[in-house]
Amino acid sequence: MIRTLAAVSIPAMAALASSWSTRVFAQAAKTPENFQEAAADNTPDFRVYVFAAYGAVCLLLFLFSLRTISQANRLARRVDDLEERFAASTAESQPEKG
Amino acid sequence: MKLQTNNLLGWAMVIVTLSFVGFWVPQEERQLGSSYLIFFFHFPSALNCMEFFLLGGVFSAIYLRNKNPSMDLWAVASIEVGMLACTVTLVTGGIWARAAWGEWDTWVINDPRLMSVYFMWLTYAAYLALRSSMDQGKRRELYCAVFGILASINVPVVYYAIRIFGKENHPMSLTLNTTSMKVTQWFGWAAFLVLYIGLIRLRRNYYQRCRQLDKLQEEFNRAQI
Repeated sequence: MIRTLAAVSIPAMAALASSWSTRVFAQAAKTPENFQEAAADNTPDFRVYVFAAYGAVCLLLFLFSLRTISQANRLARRVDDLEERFAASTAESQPEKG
Repeated sequence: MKLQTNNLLGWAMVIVTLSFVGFWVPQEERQLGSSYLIFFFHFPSALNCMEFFLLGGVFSAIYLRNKNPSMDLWAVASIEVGMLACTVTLVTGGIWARAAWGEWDTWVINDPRLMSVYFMWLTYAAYLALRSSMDQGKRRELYCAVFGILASINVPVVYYAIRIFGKENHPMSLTLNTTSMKVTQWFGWAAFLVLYIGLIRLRRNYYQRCRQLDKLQEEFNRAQI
């Protein structure tokens, strides 16, 4: 079983590493001028994507706020509950001491 | 806990920024075309994330000085929101890089600014992992404060990366020509600053409640015994 897995996975990983390293070296060979040329070719209209990205960012921040508020409210309820239980158990133990 | 005033103000300002981007600024830039519009979210997040990481370092230093647990809470809240802003910066930067340069991931090897931001993100991810892997107490506060100060050293490196290392794909700064662009840039920065400060306050309140709960639980357990 392990040998079969190794026989399949090792060549696959080697091919993946080889293609990744080729890409990385090709990218590293690029100069700032290459990037500026690519930027100068920038004709398509990206506004739809830009506003989609803005929407995604706002949604992320809004969900993060909501999550924090709901977590804090849940904690507040637990704190209140524990305080009540603590007060009740203290009140129960008082007569015994007396 | 409810949304506080500065959260609401922050959201209102973000909506105004969006309307500036949609209706006021020119929709095309001479060299970058319409893809430059993402700058008005990318820049505020980048600047604010560096501010909040530095602020986290300052709170950590104050904690080390006077051992006030409240400073530890402010530090972790600032760093968490800084991480959120840094993630937004990386994602919007990646989208912009794909549009402008035809590459998603040039930061991995080809650009000192982008690589240092990526490194900063990983450092603060390690901070949060360290924090969540330890039990609450003085030891965790101390370790996190030291880590927070050491990690904040990377922030000036990110800012000056292009001057230090010289290679420049990502510009040191983008020159905006018109008044509408400049106003939107700085209004956007202020909007996100207010919004993120609101988030920091929310996170800090949440951690305050966690601490309160832990103390009560301890007292309760002691009383049971």
